[in-house]
Amino acid sequence: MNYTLGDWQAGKGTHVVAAGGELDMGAAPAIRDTIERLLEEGVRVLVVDLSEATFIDSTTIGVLMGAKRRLRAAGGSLQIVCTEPNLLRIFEIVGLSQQLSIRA
Amino acid sequence: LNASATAPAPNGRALELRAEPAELATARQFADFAAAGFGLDEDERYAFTFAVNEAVSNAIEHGESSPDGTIHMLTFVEDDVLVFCVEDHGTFRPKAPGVETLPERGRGLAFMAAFVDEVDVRCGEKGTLVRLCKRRGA
Repeated sequence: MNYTLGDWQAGKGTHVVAAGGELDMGAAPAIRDTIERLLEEGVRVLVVDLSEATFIDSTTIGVLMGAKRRLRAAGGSLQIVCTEPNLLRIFEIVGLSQQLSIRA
Repeated sequence: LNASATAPAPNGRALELRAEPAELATARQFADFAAAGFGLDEDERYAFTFAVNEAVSNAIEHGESSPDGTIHMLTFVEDDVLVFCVEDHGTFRPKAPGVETLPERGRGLAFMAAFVDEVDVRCGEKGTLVRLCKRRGA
């Protein structure tokens, strides 16, 4: 396993999901399950912290986009924190930097 | 003399993987090594590795349903272009057992095309072959 995953409550109704390492097809199902669980628990404001991520693939990006759609439909929001230049460039090239509300 | 289109060139390298997500890290290392050998800079290497990861991810989805459950990777330089082939022996787009097919998947091909100069996908009865081409400084 080349990834790490954790989540915690960061404030009233705001939850953080931190995903680090290599976020590929092997990591995506666990990330999706975590977000799914938080949604079921009623979390509506989600911050996905990718500061420790070194790689991301289309599957994981798809999971984040799906989560953002669902949260928005439920009146919530999803923000992504990302500082890794390689990841920022991927988001930029695939044209999702703005759509995914990425903050450095 | 009678080399086929996918025969390894003298400068080529090949690697066989099991069709499992756990093999993706090895695939990325193999791609990065090929890109470094070709002389791509760090940013280009990362982009190339991203594209290869997408191709191998697709092959894992297809390949898990194949009898031998393996994926073949082949890389070589042709006319000063880095070529990377990923081949599986599954059928196109089945839901492979043991691999969770997320509804969020499906962007892989478009993403691949954004990171290399050329993507060629050939689907046959015996599997799928994806050929990625990358030029220097492109």
